[in-house]
Amino acid sequence: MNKHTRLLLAALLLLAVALTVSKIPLASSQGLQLVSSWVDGELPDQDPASPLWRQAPAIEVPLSAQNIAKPFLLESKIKSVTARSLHNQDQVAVLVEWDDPTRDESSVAVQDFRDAVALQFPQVEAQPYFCMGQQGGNVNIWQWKADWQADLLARREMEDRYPDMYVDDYPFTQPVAGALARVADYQDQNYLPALKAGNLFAAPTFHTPVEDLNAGGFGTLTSQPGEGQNVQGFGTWQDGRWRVIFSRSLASPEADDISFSSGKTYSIAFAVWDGANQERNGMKSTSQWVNLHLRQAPEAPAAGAAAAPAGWATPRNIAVLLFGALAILFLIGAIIYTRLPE
Amino acid sequence: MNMRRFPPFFSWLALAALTDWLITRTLTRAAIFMPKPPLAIQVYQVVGQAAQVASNLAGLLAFLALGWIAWRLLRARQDPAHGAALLGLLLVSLVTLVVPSAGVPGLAFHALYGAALLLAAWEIWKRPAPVGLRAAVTLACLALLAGALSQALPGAYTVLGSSEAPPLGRELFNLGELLALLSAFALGGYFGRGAPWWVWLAAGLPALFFTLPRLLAPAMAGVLAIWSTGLTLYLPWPFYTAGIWAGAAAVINAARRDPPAAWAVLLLAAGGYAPQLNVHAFLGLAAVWLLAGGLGEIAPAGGAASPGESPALTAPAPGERTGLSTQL
Repeated sequence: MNKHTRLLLAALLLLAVALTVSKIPLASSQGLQLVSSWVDGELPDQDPASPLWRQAPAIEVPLSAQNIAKPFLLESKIKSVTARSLHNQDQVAVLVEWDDPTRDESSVAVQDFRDAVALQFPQVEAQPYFCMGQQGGNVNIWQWKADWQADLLARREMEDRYPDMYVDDYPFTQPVAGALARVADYQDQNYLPALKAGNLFAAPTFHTPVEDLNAGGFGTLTSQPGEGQNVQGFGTWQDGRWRVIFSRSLASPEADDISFSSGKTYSIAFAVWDGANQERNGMKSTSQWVNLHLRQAPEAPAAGAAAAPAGWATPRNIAVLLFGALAILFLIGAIIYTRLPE
Repeated sequence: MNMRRFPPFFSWLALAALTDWLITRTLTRAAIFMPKPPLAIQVYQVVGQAAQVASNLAGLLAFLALGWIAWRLLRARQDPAHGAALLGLLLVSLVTLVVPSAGVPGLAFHALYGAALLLAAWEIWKRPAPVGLRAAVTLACLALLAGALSQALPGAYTVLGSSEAPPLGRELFNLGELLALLSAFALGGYFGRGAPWWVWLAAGLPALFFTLPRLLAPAMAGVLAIWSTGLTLYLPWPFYTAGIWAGAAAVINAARRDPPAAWAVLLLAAGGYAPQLNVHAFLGLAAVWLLAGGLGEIAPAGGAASPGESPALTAPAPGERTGLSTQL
């Protein structure tokens, strides 16, 4: 290795270290990308048939059975979902569609399992493990549940499923003889520990069919507190196809939530549960990470106040400078090569 | 390693790409399956940072290598279309550093990537070359092309303003995975032909590294396979075991006779199937260029080849060594 070659290697190594330290990605992703289209005005967050959704390019995201952590799903019944996204100046919405011949929207009986779909976003810059994140790589999960949505319209209880049931006694309550005890029937609601602990599943009413959760690896899934449940959802089942819309404000003040900005790219992953296949918990079909790019909002007309000038040291300028240096290095390398002895 | 006819950064690229593949994309990602006492976390953090530097170095070198190949192809005026496609890829990649790759830039990247692959495949059919090598390079190019098509279709639909999801994406991806596996068999058949028994025995080790985890912890093996190589393992696992065996035999036997050919096969593996990052796509392009004729192109003066004929691409006589660049 001659002097020039050593210099070239040293320069490249220094440049690689500089790129690593400054966290400037040299590589750009060429994989699957969901582009969120900009919409002026209200998002169709409760209308999957809205023509506005036709403005959003659709992508088909392949799913595979989750067979990493028990309980495994050995074979995926749902092979893919179709996804679209829209956003405006305040909100982002994602429409997820998939074929499912059965509509499973009850989990009242122990043998019932609901249909569900979830979106997952990393809370770190990199892409953590695509199944529930990992240690040091938390994820924010939005899970829409068919039974929660059905319960929003009319809460169903065991007696709805088994109308002839008879209850002998509930301690600490005085319900009507033979009937289920309601929350109001309890003399002291501390005897409803799940409700008092804030477990959303024990809530007598839901205000959204979407549960907002966080995870940092298997076994760490944690629901956000009730006041942090800020994701809205709406799903319809028609002709063997679910169409579910998730929507939330672009920015969230909560540290456990992902926040979005127009013009930026994020990662998103999908998971679907087929209740008819007894899928629940880890028994699901999941996707790998997909890029989610929020198209830049159209330029607003110039306002009176001028924007503060950005400093020169923006990632874009640094990247241009680095690649200018790379181009010079390439020229030097080419010259060295042409002068090498035959 | 007999790569002195190449610019030095080719051998660095091969080393950096191997580090990126085996450390960054395989070992550090395997951390999720490991117990994590504090010391292990610290070790993984240090290894991860070092591997990140190697990944960035591999990226820089991939840009350099592809630029050099493009410059060489354009200067020689032998295959200017191929050179122009590679140059275009570099330019689009530079643009996508500062502009999101969604839409037209992404589509342009995939179009140029596909063109470069087709031109590399065409290159091997233009020259006299052994059937086995032709089959291997063509299968590798088609596998990468199918993967790229499955990635490009959604972008194409977006650019064309279609609101429908493109059909056949999964089918194309699976077809590409099958072709990738067949290309490993073809590479093993070509480079491993006539290999002594110990080469096949040694090649069994990497196959064992895949097979044992696949049998003991199929989920872990599946996840690592996706992260490491992009393969989803949708085919029965013995096919993958055999593919790794054949590919490893190709590398080991080529390394004995034609180290640059071994590095080319390793670059192809390091790039992976349906690569998500442009620099990984560059590794595959550099590999197929080398295999399709680049190695022969760089043969020194006084080689055994006749003018205009690449020594690497001529069919070996019976009993002759079967490497790509035995005359290098």
